[in-house]
Amino acid sequence: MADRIDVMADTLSREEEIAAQQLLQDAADLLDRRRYRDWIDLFVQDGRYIAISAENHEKNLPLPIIDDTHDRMLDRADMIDRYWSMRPTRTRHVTSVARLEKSSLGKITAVSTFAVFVTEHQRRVDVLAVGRYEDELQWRGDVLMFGSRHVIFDNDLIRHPVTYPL
Amino acid sequence: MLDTNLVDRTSVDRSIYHDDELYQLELERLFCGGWVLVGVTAEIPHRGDFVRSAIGETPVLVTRAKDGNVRVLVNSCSHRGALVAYQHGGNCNTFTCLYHQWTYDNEGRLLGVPMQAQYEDLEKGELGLQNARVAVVAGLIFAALCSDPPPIEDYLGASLPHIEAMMYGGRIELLGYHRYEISANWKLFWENSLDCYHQTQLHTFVDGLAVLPTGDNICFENGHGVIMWPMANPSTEAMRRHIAENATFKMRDFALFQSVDRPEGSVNRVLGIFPNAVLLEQWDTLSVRQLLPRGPGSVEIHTLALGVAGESKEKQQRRARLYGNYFGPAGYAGRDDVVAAEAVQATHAQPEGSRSLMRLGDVGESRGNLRGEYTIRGFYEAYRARMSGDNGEPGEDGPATLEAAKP
Repeated sequence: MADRIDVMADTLSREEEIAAQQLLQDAADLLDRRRYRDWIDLFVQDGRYIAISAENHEKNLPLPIIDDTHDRMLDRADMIDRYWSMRPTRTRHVTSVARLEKSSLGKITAVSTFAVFVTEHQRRVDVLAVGRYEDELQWRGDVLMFGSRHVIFDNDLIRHPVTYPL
Repeated sequence: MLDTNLVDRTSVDRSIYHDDELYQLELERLFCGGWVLVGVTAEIPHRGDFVRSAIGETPVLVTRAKDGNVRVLVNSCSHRGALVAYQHGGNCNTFTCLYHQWTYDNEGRLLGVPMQAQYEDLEKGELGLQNARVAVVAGLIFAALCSDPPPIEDYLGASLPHIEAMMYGGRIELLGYHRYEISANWKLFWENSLDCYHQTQLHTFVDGLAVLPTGDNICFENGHGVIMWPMANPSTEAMRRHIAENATFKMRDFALFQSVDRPEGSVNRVLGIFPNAVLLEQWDTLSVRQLLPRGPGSVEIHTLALGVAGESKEKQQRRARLYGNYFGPAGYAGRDDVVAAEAVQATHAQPEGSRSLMRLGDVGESRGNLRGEYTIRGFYEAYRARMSGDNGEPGEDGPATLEAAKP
């Protein structure tokens, strides 16, 4: 999380900035294109994806809406492909440019905001969720990947079934 | 008065899922006319704590007063009716209405009124926030706005030992909230929660996956009901082998179907408390679902995920993770349930006289048969009685004999 980075921060290089912003845009784009396995490939093998309401996050309550390790991400992709196709929806992520920080240990944290719109078959566009991403990014060779992604959504109420990762 | 043709032993008229007048009668007779679940004590452990809730569509505050007792107050200023608290919860000793600053304590007493001397006919003792009747059972908080609800133990009847067991005698702790709104009548979500018929029909990923022995469907008096089955607790190796040999869905992370500390043969249960609550304990997940109707075509589901006092943090993290991933609005099963309920509601424009069927099983109990619509029929038997304004006298066909079931 962004508030756990080391005090002595390094400056990101221009290449690191570009790689980080590109990674976040790729993540949103792959979800909207429903390319879930490609989205999973943006995570390191022991990566973690957690989506939680602001209410639970601020009250320090552990209940997530999604808490996936790599195996569960793959299970969820199977669920989407094989069992959840009966009510297709289209999502559209709108994300901000991320604030990036780099610790002296080389870890990059990225904080950005998002809105996910959902369009269901023959229905109007609606807002599924808004909130912020808090990401920990790691280099694997010359590829920047998600070590973890925390999705903290503002909604007091969710108004749609949540089929896809936010 | 309910047209009793709308609900009979084996079917219901589909207008009950979208008729505005019937919905208003439900609010009056079922929600404001008896006990409803409004929260759990684990939400308000300290004096001064409060949470917002509702009885039907009537907003209430559930508070922990100075004397340590629970109060349920109508969240509406006695002056002009504005909400006196907006937050989901917090800790305070007074509530002040934002409109004219009338101030109440957390037992509902009116403490202060600006320009009090000039205010005509002000009897502060008569202008407190309306107090509901309150009963606390095994950590569950029930409230009633009517003046003469039956004793809560009588109301819960033979479901009470199950409630005590599922709530670990009240030693529950709060792990978090899911709050979501679905475009479906509140009864459809109750039906879905207590319907074991759909388990492998809707949640097709379960095919061959879970070891599901036979179980029991039991209807209790007053519309409550439980479906329950003995819990298998396979080792990881056994589960992997079982999945490889039997499951259509080769699930990689099957932690839901294992418990870290509940012994084999422990009971998994889904228990419905008429009209608005569902308790669920499956393997290492434990939760209370509260149904808050928001019109005939909409319901808010407020789920409280729970742990048990004295558990390790790791166990509670596990409980929370498993509940979210399987039973919440993004859950493998939870998402299906929302879609199914909304699919029913989506066809609300029906020809007159269209009926929904519930013919798989009778009212009463079925031992050794998990699949059935028993508890749905039990729900509608109570629904018909309460909505008709009678005392649940058996109709022409009569209900099956109900026996007190052991937890």
